[in-house]
Amino acid sequence: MIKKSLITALVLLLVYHFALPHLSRDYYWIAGQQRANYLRAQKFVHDTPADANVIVGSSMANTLSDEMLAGKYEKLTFPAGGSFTGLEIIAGTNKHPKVLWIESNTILRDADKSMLADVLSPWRRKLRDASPVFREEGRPSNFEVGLFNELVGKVCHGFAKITGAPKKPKIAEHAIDPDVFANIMKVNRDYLDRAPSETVLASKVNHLGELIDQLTRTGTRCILFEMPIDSTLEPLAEPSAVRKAMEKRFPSDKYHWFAFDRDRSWQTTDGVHLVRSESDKVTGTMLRDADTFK
Amino acid sequence: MLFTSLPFVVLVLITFVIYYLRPLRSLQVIVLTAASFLFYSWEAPLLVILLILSILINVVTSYKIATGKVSSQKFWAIMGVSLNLGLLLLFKYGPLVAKTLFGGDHGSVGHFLVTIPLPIGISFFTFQGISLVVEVFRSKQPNDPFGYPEMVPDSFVEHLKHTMLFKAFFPSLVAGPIIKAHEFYPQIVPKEFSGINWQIVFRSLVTGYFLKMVIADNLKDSTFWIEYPYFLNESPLTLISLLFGYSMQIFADFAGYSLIAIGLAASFGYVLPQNFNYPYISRSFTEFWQRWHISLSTWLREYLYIPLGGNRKGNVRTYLNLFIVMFLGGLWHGAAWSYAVWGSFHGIALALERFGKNWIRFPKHWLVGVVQAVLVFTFVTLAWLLFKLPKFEHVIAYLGAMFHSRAETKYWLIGHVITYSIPVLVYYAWYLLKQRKPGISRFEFIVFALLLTAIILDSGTTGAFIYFQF
Repeated sequence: MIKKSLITALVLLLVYHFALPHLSRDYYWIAGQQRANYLRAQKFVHDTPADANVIVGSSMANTLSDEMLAGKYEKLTFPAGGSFTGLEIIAGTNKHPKVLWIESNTILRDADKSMLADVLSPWRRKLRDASPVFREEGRPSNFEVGLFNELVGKVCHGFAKITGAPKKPKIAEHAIDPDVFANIMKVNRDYLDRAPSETVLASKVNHLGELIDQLTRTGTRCILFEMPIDSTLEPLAEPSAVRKAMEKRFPSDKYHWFAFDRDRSWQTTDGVHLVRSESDKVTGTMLRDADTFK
Repeated sequence: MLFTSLPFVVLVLITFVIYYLRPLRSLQVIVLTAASFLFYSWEAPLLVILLILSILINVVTSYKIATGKVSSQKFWAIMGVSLNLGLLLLFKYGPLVAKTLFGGDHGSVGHFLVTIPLPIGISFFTFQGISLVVEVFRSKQPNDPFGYPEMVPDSFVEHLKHTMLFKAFFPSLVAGPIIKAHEFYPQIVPKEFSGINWQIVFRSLVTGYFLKMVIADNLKDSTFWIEYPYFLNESPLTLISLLFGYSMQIFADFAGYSLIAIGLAASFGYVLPQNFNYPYISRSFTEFWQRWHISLSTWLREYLYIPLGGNRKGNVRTYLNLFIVMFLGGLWHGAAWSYAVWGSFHGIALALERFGKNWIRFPKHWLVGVVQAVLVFTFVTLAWLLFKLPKFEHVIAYLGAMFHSRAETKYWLIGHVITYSIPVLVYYAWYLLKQRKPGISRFEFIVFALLLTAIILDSGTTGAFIYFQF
């Protein structure tokens, strides 16, 4: 039984390897933030040219418009992660972006070690180069999730039609339930109003400095930026401490800093993530002004 | 060290090779114990001190019971159980009590105690230690009704070696199954490579790793959204799906871990007790607890329910005993009221069921069985919410949102839950099918090939085992 199982598994792997490129992507879905993060990291490691322009950051910078950045910038922005993950991936793959935008908001977050171990592991990289079935995009479940996504949607719509349930009016992207918004804002406020440990902050800023200096030496133009957040959260303990430490370590006369208008009130979905229209504006400004940093 | 990590695989391979080397056969116990200590100390080396202390408590007290005067046996038994429980109470409930008594401000005693991390696996190895002390004591009583085998050798050093392995045995050290002393000690004999039951090793490891790496580790990415306040922004249908997914995840995570433990133990020639027996097909809560975390429920039955009087002291006392056992079983999971509520919920359900059995007779029809199984599953799943959301008010908010949320349904999230829940349903269906048509087993190699392929192609990102926190 054991031998038969092993041989059958090998055959199944081979069949999938040859079938994957021909499978229809009509029902295909990369489900979840974690998956999307790994997919993004793997695409960068395997497919992105060594000198491509890059943006590193967290879910905040992840809101920057993909459509507007297409062909100009690669995003190494990871929801639930931070800039260090992207920077470590760049260092681990020995790539040298021409221009590198670095989000400063979440530098207190460590690099995602398990993701780094996965995407930078030499034997995994070899396997993924050899066959896409070992990549995030090749998971068989992407097809299943896509199929169920479609099916559940159709069943729900059909059910609504039969029962005559009124179609929900399309809500504006930032118009989430006010009670929910208030709850999320409270959680964010509590979270951001804690002053970080000075030692931890200093070590993070210094480590960031080492990475930036190393990249700058090899010809990368590094531009630091702070993603705009809700104006009531901006002056809280953590963002203020990070801002102060960053400005001290990276003075604007020696490092490139890109500043957004802090006087205006930015619209967010939850206090820390910009709504689509606002992130489009930010993306546009970044693209427009990128060349001013020489 | 996680069962799914590379250092663990390396540790197992090296230990396996050394363990079965013929010249080192006499050192098998020491090799396995050394590997177990390395496994336990990998993340936090200092915790080994606690494990050693716990081992010493059990070695000394059980040895004293076995070899000391008859008049002092009870004293040593009480001492052994008390010290075991004391250690557990200190580390598991001490921080909560200290915080309540002294406050949690910086610099306070309460804050200091709260910062002490919960030693991983303490609930498991403490219960094993109690089982040793109690069983040795029982075996020394005249007319021992349990018929336990001899567990304590004459040599103290030999007993120390055996107990170190019993308590630190790495496959079951941090999350069970909880082995009872009489099940383990007789197995401590020299092992031969030719004696390995490869069928058990292969089946347990493949199924266990599939449940953990493919099902639980992927579902955790969906059930992450059962987090305050994020769940408030999900629709009722999404919330129901997520809760269903969490129920599948916790089963796959824990049953997967237990199967890996059983497979690993078998590769070193040891048999661990079955910990899960398809619990979600249970038609009653009583049956559920005979199928879920079997090693804990049998431990509670033998060392708590029966000593409390079990069902021998009348109906009311039986209901009360069931409630007490489940309440304490709930608290065993952690120092939080949500666990106590979870245990109470199951305790009340068991008591009500026992009460109802005397009055109601259900017709023996398969459809009635299905309805019963669905009802038990639904209640069990609702109760898991107390595991996922430690704050009681968040549980209430979740249940409220299941009815009142106005958010849009995320079909992909439901699709994701369905994708990884179906294999669990198939796992159950396959079991039922095998019972009705045993001949189908000849196609099992296809099932295992599919599981292997899924492990290679579709494992999720590594997550800690849920039961590690207990």
